[in-house]
Amino acid sequence: MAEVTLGPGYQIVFEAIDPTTGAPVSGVVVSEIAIGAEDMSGDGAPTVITVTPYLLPQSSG
Amino acid sequence: MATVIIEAQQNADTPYTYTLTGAQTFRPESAFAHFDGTGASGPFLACLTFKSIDGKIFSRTFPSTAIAAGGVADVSYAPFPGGIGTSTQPLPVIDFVQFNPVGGFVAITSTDPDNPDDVSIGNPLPFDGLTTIQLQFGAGTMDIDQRGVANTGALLIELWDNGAPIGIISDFSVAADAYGSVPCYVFTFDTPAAGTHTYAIRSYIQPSGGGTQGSSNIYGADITTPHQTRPGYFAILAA
Repeated sequence: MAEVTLGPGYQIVFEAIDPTTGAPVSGVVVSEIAIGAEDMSGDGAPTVITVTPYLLPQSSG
Repeated sequence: MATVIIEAQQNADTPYTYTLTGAQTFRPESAFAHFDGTGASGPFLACLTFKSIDGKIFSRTFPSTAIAAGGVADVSYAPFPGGIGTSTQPLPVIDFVQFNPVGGFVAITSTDPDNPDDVSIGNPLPFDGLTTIQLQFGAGTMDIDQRGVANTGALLIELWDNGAPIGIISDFSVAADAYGSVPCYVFTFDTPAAGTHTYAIRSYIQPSGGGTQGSSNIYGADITTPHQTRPGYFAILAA
């Protein structure tokens, strides 16, 4: 598992689950997410990818 | 190969999902997130889950201790996976009692659910009120002999905590004028309140219709020959 490689379409999910039932727990907020990973694409892509889960709507003007 | 760092700069409600796009292909080595449960509806495990393209979970990692409702925590994940709930890391055993009774079995004769027969008693354990445990009871077989008896018979196994019943975990029945024998390997989960808990496996019989019940036993040894029977056990596992 330490050698798992994620590719396009794979999902990384931060979630809160009930310790007894495994059901989702509501009202939890996650922030400051950072993932360190080894780039396996070999395509010279940028080494920092920024994820902004809640972007404000952009102005059309 | 370069190291990729993915950052989320704003708050998000859980579950928060990041889907790899384009040509992104990388091998995660560590992860961090701040979980704020100020508005949480209950205690929770702060999980990092990986899903395949079709949405199936193939890894779920979380700390061993749940976060209480209202609590906040900085959670680091490395290496993968960690904590309970994963397929590659075993659950630590925090209590183990061998079930190897004198004579090879415990005869169950009590018909009183409130005063059942003792089968296996665990050791007193301290808990923090947040940790979920798995309780396992295993025995090579249990049997009921209703041959010559005109009613069905049942053998029930219940989990007890600090001298109080907290739920049946096995119900084995045999028809009238029949004999039945089945292996007994059952498990359940519990999140005990903070404090010391002594769990126990206890059992009683329940002949139907006010009838009678023949010999009813739970075996920890000597089921048959020539091979030996592996002893049964009562184990408690936690992260």
